[in-house]
Amino acid sequence: MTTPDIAPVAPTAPQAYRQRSPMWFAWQRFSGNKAAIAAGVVLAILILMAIFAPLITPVPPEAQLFLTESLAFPSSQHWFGIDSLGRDFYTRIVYGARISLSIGFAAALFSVLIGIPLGALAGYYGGKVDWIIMRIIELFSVVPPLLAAMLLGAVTRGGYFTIILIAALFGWVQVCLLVRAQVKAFREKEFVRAAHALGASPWYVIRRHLIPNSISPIIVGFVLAIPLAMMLEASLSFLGIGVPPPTPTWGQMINEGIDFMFFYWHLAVFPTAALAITVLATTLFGDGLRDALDPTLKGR
Amino acid sequence: MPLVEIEDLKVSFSQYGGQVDAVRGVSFTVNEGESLGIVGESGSGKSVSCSALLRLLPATARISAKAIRLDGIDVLKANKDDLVRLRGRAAAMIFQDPMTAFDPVFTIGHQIVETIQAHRPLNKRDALAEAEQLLLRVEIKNARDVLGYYPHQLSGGMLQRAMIAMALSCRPKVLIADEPTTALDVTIQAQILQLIKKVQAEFGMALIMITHDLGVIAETVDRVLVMYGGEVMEQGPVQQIFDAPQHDYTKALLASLKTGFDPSADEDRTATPALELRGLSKTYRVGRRAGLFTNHSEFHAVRPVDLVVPRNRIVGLVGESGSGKTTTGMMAMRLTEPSGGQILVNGTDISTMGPAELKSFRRSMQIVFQDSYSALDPMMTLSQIIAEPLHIHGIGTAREQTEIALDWLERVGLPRNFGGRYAHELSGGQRQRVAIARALILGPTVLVADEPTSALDVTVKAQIIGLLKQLQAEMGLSMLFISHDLSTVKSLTDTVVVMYRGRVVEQAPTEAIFSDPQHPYTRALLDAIPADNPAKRRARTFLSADELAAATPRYTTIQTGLAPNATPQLITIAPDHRVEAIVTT
Amino acid sequence: MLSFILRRLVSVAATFIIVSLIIFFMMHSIPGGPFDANDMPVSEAVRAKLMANLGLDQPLYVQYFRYMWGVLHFDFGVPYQSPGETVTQLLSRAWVPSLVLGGLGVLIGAPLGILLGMAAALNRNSWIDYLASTLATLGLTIPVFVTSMLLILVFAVWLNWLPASGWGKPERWILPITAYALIPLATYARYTRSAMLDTLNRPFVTVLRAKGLTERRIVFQHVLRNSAIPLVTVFLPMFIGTATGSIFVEAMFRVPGLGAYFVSSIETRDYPLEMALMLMITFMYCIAYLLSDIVYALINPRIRVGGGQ
Repeated sequence: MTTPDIAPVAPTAPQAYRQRSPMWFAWQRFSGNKAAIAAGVVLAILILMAIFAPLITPVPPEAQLFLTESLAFPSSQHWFGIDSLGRDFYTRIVYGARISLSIGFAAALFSVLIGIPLGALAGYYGGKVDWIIMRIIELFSVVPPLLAAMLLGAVTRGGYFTIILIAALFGWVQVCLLVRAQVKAFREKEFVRAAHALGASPWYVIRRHLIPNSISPIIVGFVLAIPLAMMLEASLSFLGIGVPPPTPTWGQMINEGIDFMFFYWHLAVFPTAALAITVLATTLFGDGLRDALDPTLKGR
Repeated sequence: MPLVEIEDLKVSFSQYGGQVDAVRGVSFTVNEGESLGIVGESGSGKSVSCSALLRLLPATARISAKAIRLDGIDVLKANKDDLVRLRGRAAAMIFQDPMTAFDPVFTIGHQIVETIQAHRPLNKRDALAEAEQLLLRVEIKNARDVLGYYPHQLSGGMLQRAMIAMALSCRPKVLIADEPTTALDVTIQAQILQLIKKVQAEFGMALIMITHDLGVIAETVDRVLVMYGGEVMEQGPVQQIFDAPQHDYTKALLASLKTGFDPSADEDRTATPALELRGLSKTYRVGRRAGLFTNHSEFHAVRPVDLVVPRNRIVGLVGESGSGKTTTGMMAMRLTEPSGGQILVNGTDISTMGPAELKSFRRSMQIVFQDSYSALDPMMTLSQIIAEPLHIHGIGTAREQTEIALDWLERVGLPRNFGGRYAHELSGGQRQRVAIARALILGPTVLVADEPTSALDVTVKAQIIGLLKQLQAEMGLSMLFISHDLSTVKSLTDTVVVMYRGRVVEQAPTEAIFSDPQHPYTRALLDAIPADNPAKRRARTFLSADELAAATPRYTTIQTGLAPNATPQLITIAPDHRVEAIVTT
Repeated sequence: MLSFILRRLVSVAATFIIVSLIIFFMMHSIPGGPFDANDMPVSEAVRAKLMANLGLDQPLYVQYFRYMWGVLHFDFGVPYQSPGETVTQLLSRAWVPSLVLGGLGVLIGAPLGILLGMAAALNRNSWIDYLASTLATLGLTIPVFVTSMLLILVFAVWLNWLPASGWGKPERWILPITAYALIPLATYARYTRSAMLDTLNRPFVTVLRAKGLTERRIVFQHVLRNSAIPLVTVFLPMFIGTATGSIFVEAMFRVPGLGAYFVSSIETRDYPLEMALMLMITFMYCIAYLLSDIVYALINPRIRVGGGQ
C-alpha cells in the first residue's frame, strides 16, 4: 500500500517540532542534578583508573620491591607511601579499585540476570508464582545478608568468584522487587489489555511492552546493586574471608591499617578514603539515575 | 461591599523551562447569599482562582492581584490569625475526591470536632454533639455510628456528605465547592447537588460552584463565569448564559450539552447478530479471614446476562460503578474469563476457545478503553502503537504497516506527521483518537467501547462521540457502548441496556427508554440527569436501594403468560422492550 | 486483629524453622571439622571417640533434632574455643557490651534521625535539608568499619581526645556508640524525610489547611501520624543494619561483645557458638519482623479496623 502523493512531504517538511522521547526528559532531570553529575564523573575516572591500572602505576601490585623502605610515609616517589611488606601503596590502592569495581559490576550483572526473570514472572502471573517468590524474598529479608554472607564465606573460604556469587545471591532481591512492582503496575495498564485484546501472547506482551517499560527500574536496580556488592566484598575482605591475599583489596588493607594507624596513618587513611569515595560516588550516581528515570520513586 | 472580591488575579507556576500562566487577569465578585458558578475545562484556571482566595496554592505559585478580599480581609496580606479566620469561618471548601480528602488515620468524628474546636471555644463533648447534629443535617441517618467510622469504611457519597457537614461546622459565609460530584455516580451526584442547595438556603451562605459540567451549573447557581485558558470568557445571569451565550466558547459548551437522537442505518433483522451474550456470568470467590483459616463466599459480579448486539447497530450498556457493566464488556472480549455462559461472535461461540484459535477471532472484535493516559504505551511512537495490531497478526511488511498506520492517523483526524510522536505529547482527546485507530485498523465487526469519553472535557467528548459515530457508519460496525452516563448514550445508541447490581433490569430501544422507562432504577437514573437549562430545575425525590426493590414492577400471569414467581425476572412488555419484573397471579 | 497476629506468628515461626534448617545444614557442610588432622594431630581412635562424644557421628537430621531439643532448654552445647563454660554462659557474658553500646546507639540515633528528617522535610532545600540528605547518604552507603576508622583517626589518633578501643570506662563507649548511632540516624533521617514529604503532598493536607487548622497542628498531629505508618516498615532493616554493624564496630574498637565472638567463632570453626549466634540473631530478627508487622497494623486503621465499602 503506497501513497506517492504524501511520501515526499514527510522527509522535506521542516523540523518545526522537536522530538521529545521519554528518555529526553530523563536526561533533562539528570543533568539538573549536580551531585549526580559530579558522582558520575568521579565514577568514570575510577573506572578508567581501574582499567588502565598498569599504565598509571610504576610497579606491579604484589611486588615487594621496597622492603628497605617498608612503612615509609607518602613522598614524591611513592604517593601513598609503602606498606609493611615493602609494596608501593599507591599501586595497591589503584589495583584495589579493579577488585572492588569488577566485583561490584559483575555481582550487579548477576543480580539483574536473576532478578529480572523472577520479578517479571511474579509480577506478570501473580497468584501462586508470586506467592512462592515473595516467600523466598521474605526468607532473605529475615536473614541478614552480611551474616549469611560471612557464613557462606566461611563455608567456601572466600575467593574472587565466590564473593561475586554471594553478592548476587543477596543482590537480586532488590532488583526482583523493583521489576515485580513495575510489571505489576503495567500489567493492569490498558495498553497491555489492548494488546491482549489483539491476541498477543504473554511472551509478546512481556517482551514488547513490559520489559521496555521496566528499563528504568532495571537500570536503577543494576546501578544501586553495585555499591552493595562492593560493601559486601570490602566487609568480607575486612574480616579476612573475602578475596585472599596477596591480591590487593581495600577491605583487607583497612583491616591491616588498624594495627598501624597510630604510627603509620597512611596505611589506614588511603584505603578508607578510596572505599568511601567509590561507594559514595556509585550511590549518588545511582540515586541521580533513579530520580531522573522514575520521578515517582524519589527518595525511597 | 461584596463578600468576595477578586480583581485582576494572575497566577503562574514555575516549571521546567519557564513559567506557566494558570490564571491571567481574572476578576469577579460574590455577594452575600449569592451563588456563582465557575465553568471551564481542566486547565482553565477555575480551581486555581478559588485556591488563591484561601491561599491554598503551593509555594511554587506566584500570585499577584489588584485586590483579593474575602469578608473584608485582604487575603494577600493576611497574617496567621487572619488565615485561621478566613479558612473555615469566612469560607469553607469541599473537594472533588472525598476518598482522599479525609485523613485516613482519624475518625470522621475526630476530624469534624477538631474543625469546630479550631474556630469555636467548645469542649469536646459539646463539639461531638454538634458534629452529630451536622451529620443529621446532611441527611446521614446513622450519624452516631458514622462519627466513629474511619474514612475507608464509608462510600464516596457518604464521605462527601460528611465533608459538607465538616464545611458547615463553622457557619461559613461562603461555601466553595470544587467539582464536588465529579468522582461520584450520577444518582449520588443529583443527591449531593440537591443537598448543597438545601444547606446553602438553610445556612444563608454564598456558594461558589466550580465545575466542568454545564448541567451542574444549570441545577445550582444564579450567576455564571465561563473560563478558558486562565481568562474569563464571559459572565452573566445563568438564564442569560444558557439562552443567549455571547462567546463562541460558551456556545460550543452549550452545543455539546444538546444532543439529538440519530438512529443508525436500518438493520437486517434476519442476519446473525454480530455479538450475542447468552447467560454470561461472573462469580468471584471472596476470602474472609477468620483466625488461621479463610472462609470463602461467592460474590456475583454479573448474574447471567443475555444481550444481543445486532449488525451495524450501537447498543448502550448503562449502569453505575459496581453494576457489572465493565465486567460484562471485558468478558465479551474474553479479557476476563466468564464463570458461565456463551459469547457468540458472528454466530460462533468463542467462550471456550484456546488462545491460538481465539487469535483469529480477535481481528473481528476490538475494544477502546476509558483511560486514555494508560491506553498507550509511553515508550512507543504513535505509528508503532497504531501499527501494533498489524504487527501482532503479521500483516504486511514493516514499511506497509507504518504506511497503513499513518493513513489511520489521518482517518481519526490527526496529522500524519504525528506518527513519530509519543503519547505524553498528546492531549486526552488526541490519545483517545489514537486508541480508536489502533482498535479499528484490523477492520473489526464488533467494537466494545468502555466509557471512552468519561475522562474527557465536554467539548472534546462531543468530538470523540462524533468520530465514533462516523466510523461506525463508514465501517458498518456493531458497537457495545458502555457508559455510566445516560445523556451520552442518548445521542449515540440504538438500544439501551440498563444494569443494576450485576443484573440487567431493563432493555429497550433508546427512544423507549427515555420516553417510557419501566423499571424504578431506570427512572432514577433518568431523573438524576442534570437539567440542560436552568429553567428546568426541579426538586427530586430519591429512593433507597430497598425502596427501589419494593417498586419493582409487577405483572400478572395473564399479561405475560408466565408462571407466578416471587423472584424478579426479565419479561417482554413491548417489542424489543424487556424489564425485570415480578410475575404475580 | 487477634487473627492477624496469629497468622503472622505462624508465618514467622515457619520462616524461623526454615532458616534454622538452612543454617544447620550449611554449617555442617563446611569442609573440614574442628578435629581435622591438620588442626589437631590425634589418633584415629581418639578422633572417633571425640566425634561420638559430641554426637558428630549421627546422621544430620538426628543431630538437628537433638540440637533443637537442647535449644528449647537453652542448651547450646559447649564452645570449642573455651570448653570451660557453656555457650549459654559465654553468651550471657557477651550480651552486655553489645546491648549497652548498640542499645544506646539506637536510643540516641533513632530519635535524632527522626528529628533531622522532620526538620529537613519541613524546610525543604534549606541547609538542614542538605545536612540531613548528606548525613543519610553517608550513613547508609559507607560501611561501618570505614566510619569507625575515620572516628578513631580523627578523635583518637589526631586529636587524642578519646581512647580508641576497649570496654569498661564510659569514656571508651563514646566512639563506638557514635559509630553505632550513625546507622539508625541515617536510616530514620532519610525515611522520615521522604515519608513526611509524601504525606505533605496528599490532598487531605490541603483540606486540613482549608479547614483553618494551624500549620503546627497539621504537622504534629496529622502529618506525623500518617508518616509513622511507612516508618514502621523501616524498623527491621534498621535493626538488621545495627546488629550487623556490631560485628565491625566490635572488631574495630576491640569490644568483647557478640559481634566479636561471631567473628572468632567463624575463624575457629566453633560450630556450637556459631550456630547459637546465628540462631539467636535470626530469632531476634523474626521477633523484630513480627513486632514491626503488629505495630504497622495497630497504627493503620485500614488493617486494625478492617472492613470498608
